Amino acid sequence: MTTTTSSPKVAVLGAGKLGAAVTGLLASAGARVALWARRPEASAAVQQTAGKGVDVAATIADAVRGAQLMCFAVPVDALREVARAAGDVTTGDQIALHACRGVETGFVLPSEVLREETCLKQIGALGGPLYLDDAAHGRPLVAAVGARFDDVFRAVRLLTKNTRVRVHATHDLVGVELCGAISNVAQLAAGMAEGAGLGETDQGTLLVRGLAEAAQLGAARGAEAATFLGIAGVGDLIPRQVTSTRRNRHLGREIGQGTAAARAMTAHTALEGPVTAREARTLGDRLGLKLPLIQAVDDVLWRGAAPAEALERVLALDLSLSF
Amino acid sequence: MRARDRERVLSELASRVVEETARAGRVEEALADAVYHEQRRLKEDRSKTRDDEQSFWRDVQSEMRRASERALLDQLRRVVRRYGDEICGQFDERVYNSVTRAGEPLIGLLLNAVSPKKIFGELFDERHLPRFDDSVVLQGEIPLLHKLRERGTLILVPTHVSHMDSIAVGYALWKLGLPPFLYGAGLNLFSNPMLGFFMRNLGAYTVDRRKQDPLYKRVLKEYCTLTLENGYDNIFFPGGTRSRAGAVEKKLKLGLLGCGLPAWTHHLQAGKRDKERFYIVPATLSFQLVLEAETLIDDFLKEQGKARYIITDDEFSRPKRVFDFLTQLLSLDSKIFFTVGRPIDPCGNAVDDQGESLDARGRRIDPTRYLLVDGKPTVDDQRDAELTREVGERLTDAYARDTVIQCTHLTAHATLNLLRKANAGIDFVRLLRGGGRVDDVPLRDLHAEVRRLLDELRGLHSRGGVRLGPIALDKDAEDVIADGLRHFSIYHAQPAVLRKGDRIASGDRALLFYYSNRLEGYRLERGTGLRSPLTPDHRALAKGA
Repeated sequence: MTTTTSSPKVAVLGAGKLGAAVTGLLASAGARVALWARRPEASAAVQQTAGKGVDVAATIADAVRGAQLMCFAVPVDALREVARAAGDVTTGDQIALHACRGVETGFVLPSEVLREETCLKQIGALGGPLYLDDAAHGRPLVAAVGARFDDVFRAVRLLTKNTRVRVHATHDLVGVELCGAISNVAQLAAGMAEGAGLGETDQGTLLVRGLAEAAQLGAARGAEAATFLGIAGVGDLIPRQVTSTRRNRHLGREIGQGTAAARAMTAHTALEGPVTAREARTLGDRLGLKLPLIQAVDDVLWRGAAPAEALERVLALDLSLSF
Repeated sequence: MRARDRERVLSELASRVVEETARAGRVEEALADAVYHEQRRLKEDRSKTRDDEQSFWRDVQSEMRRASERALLDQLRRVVRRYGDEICGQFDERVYNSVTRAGEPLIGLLLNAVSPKKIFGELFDERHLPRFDDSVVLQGEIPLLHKLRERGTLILVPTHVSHMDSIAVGYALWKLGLPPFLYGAGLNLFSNPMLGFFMRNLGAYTVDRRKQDPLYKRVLKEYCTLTLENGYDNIFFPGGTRSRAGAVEKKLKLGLLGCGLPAWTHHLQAGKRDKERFYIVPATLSFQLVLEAETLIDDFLKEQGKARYIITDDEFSRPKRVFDFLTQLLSLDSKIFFTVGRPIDPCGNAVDDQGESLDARGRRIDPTRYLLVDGKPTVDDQRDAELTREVGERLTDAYARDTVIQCTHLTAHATLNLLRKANAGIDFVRLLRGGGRVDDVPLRDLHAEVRRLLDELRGLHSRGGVRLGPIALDKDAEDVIADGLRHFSIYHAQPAVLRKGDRIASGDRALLFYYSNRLEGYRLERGTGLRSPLTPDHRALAKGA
């Protein structure tokens, strides 16, 4: 931990939309941000916008070394590689945040990837609406933070003390991760429904079904039902335009409108929803869970099913929610 | 605890607990709680010390009425000191030295101590003493255990099935050339004056599970922390109580296990460099037969998981029974396995052969970093509870890997599987109570079922997922069954499994269930259509079993 200067060092890994927003936010709150991105020109661009307090790090190790907190702002399929490099220099007192909304093959959750690749234990998942456009317009940025250790909440609150970030803390790390991951799958379904010309009620029904299925997976993985009713679950569904899921919804819409799933997915790489749908279905089958929505999305994306029929079958089911 | 440390530890204990309570502004509340809980407990108490205890608490209560700040602090100190004295007890180094030097007869002595009459009649007459020498097999990470002991203080965490465990662990440590470790033993085990005397002098301290007072629990925890800080190796039985169902523990009561973290933090705060580390060492014990099996499974079935926490009237309290159990068990050339598992640090990290902590990818890490808050070593209860929860998960994995499956477990599990299949549709509890259409199954079916289990288990064993006893490892199903039947026939009133010509039956299905449960949690029934009769934590019957 760095104690040489009063302002804490924070590492941001990834200079996509989220990485850029986090960098700008923390730099404006007075933190020293070490920013790393795979493409140096991306970090340079962010540094230029964010201005003072942002250093571009040449390597992941340079960014992470001595940082009080590190934010993994990369999609889940890049997380392992980045975490492994960070793991060469991480120490047990550092705090990690990630904003992944998906799972790895084998239904490995992002926090589990971080545990496997680094010595970090104080891990927090960012979830909830996290609507970056709000922040860009000076409105409060609302996020759920799921972490098992109170120190994670303390660190996040301290770093965002002078910002308009509203943090909702929960110990249910797995619950927050599942809410985010499965909401992407539900947004894919809602997008397909929209593209196929189904109405808003049907789209809404699919989103609610997604939440119920997330909760079922949650029960199997030790998450708490209350999390799915909180800011990370319902709180993420209600705002109509949710940044992190908008692109998944867009992909769904294209497929709903008739683009072949395989072709549409090639055009939208780095989206977390499709792999998550496939892995959630595999896990559900293994555990004997009934996950008709996840199954339908998987059928459309990976098994050539027609979107309208697959979704109609889900909509015809009795949606009696039981948590 | 050695006499020279006793006074220092107890006075440090008192100042820590009193200061902490005072800082939290809870002195009066803590005292009122103590008086309330203790007086309530004493209403039910039938022991000889009752009058003395009642007068102590009456006195505390009346002193509290004076209610000056100072008077309250004095009373709190008095209560903490009383709890501390009771927990710590008296330790006589001379007795300890003579007992540990006595060598092999130690166990006999301990067993004889159960019965004062025996000790006069048969003292040191080795012909009458059960000999553990050829029976207890010590295996696993033993060199590492010795090595880590030089680097730090050990917290040995064995599985807990029977009261024989503490004797077997005591024997194993002696055999390994290690001095006794401190361990908490239920007050009921001290009630026998002879046994209590030896236990006390072999490192046992007292845990009174009837005491509900939060202050008592606090004192107990601080006592453990202080013994660790003073370099005393400890044994914790993390189940807290013996496994009722006979299964490998899946959900541990962590209790005192977390004491390593504050102890370590205190070392770091004090700048201690020598032997400042702590290591948690899982260990398993495996007996072919369990002394108290009938009582334990009976309790499990009666209460279905809401087990009585303290059983005072079981087989362990009947000296003849303990003696017969051991002599009979050992006469069969039965093996008792004490398996030392791979140690971990108190934060739940693996350690290498030098005792250095490792991350999940095997890179060396500095574990003291987990204990820092704002760069300084700091005790943090929430963090420590979370780290200890992880330790608990690592331990349950280790227990499953290092459990030694023996012939009685296999024979019972296979027999129960066959009875369940033959009585499909019959309620499980009814089946255990002796109901059902079919009472016995063909011996050749048992051969086939044991063979199937052996195939599964040997595959698991080759992947490091379980350990097998010598017969289960490479003999035929016939040998496994013969050995299982031989064991069942010698000890229990009704054998769990018995042979009637070419058919196999159970003389006591609850016992059958008990021994069968040792194989729960390994997913051996995948694809057979049989569901586990236990909940995932192995503490209760599954719904609809």
